[in-house]
Amino acid sequence: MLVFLGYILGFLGVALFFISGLGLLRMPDTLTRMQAATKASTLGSLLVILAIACFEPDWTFKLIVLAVFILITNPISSSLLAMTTYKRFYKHIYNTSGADALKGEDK
Amino acid sequence: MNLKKVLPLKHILLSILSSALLLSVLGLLMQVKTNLYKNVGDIFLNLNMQTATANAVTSVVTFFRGIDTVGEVTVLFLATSGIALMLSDTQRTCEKVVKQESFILNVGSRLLLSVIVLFGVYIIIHGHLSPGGGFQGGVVIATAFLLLFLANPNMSLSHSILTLGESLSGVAYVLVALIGLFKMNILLGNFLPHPIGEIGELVSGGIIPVIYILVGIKVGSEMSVIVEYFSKEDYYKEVCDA
Amino acid sequence: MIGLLILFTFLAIITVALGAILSKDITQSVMLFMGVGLGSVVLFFIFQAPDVALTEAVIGTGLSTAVFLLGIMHTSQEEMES
Repeated sequence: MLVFLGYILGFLGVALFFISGLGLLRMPDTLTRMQAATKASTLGSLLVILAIACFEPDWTFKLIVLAVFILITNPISSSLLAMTTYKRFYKHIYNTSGADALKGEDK
Repeated sequence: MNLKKVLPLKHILLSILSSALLLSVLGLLMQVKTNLYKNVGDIFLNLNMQTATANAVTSVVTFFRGIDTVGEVTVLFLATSGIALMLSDTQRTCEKVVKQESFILNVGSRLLLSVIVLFGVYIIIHGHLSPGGGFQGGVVIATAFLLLFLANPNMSLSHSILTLGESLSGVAYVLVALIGLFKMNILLGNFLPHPIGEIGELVSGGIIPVIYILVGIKVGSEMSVIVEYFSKEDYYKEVCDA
Repeated sequence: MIGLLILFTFLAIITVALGAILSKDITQSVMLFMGVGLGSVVLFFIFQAPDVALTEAVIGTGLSTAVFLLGIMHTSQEEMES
């Protein structure tokens, strides 16, 4: 039963990785590509880690440490990439809606 | 579409050469048989009882080929001295300028620093039981400091403490080797008690954990100094020119 | 099964190394070189040399990439700001 759940979670994680790779190839500019590469792959890694925890219940503690590491590093790096892109390459951002929540900040 | 323009002849030749190399390596791999190991490795495994570690690679590195490890530590020390000689500049007086830094990056790097340093210390202390040892653990600690320097350019290490730790651990390593020479008639002889019964315990293996801790302190401080010189160079240039 | 994994790892290493040689952008080349190190970590681990694999993982993919990138950053500063 647990192994079956593991297969489902692993399949979902790999599907998210696939979507993330597809977005990396198809998105128009840096910010959207970065969002596809970081957000989807964070959730994908967490799902794959959950799947491994279902296959091997003895490894749960080490896998929790891994998951916490991914949860710390991935959002920090993606937020820094986004801020740097916004500050340095503002003119090249693909902005069709015209919204700009960080308008007051210096660019 | 001209094929010659897309793929020049040099690249095609390179690909053919690398695939031939791959095939030859695979052919060699196919011929390896598992019962051909009656050679130096077996002798070392039998002699492993003299040093009483759970990890045979560790006995090779610190006991049978211990003099090589002394040489490696010396080479690393010379490399650090050369880099310090090239990159250090004594006339930097403008390092008090505070550069703007990101809050998220600062907090995140400090959060990760403790975890990475703990992992490096684990690798050093468990060097005689599991893969790893002084060199690898020391470099892991240095990468933690690299993260800190990249995140926060105003950070600086205390060079006097680092130099003291590095030289003291180097002197202690040579002293341990010489005590082994006097007591056991072998350089780096294992003069501490290491009964066969407790192979695999954390406190076992005689002088081998001691040597790994000393090498870990030495390599960690040397690599941290190298990383600091490399990552600070740019920052000093920017701040001093402005 | 393990032979297939070894074969795929070899192929991946050769592909990434060719990409690192042929790439025009030097930063991209350094990143692909890190991929070569990552593939050799897997190979060392398969061939039962975990000590070498750990050393390669720390030095080959961690420190040497950082030192390469810092060197590129120092030498091409004017180019980056223009």
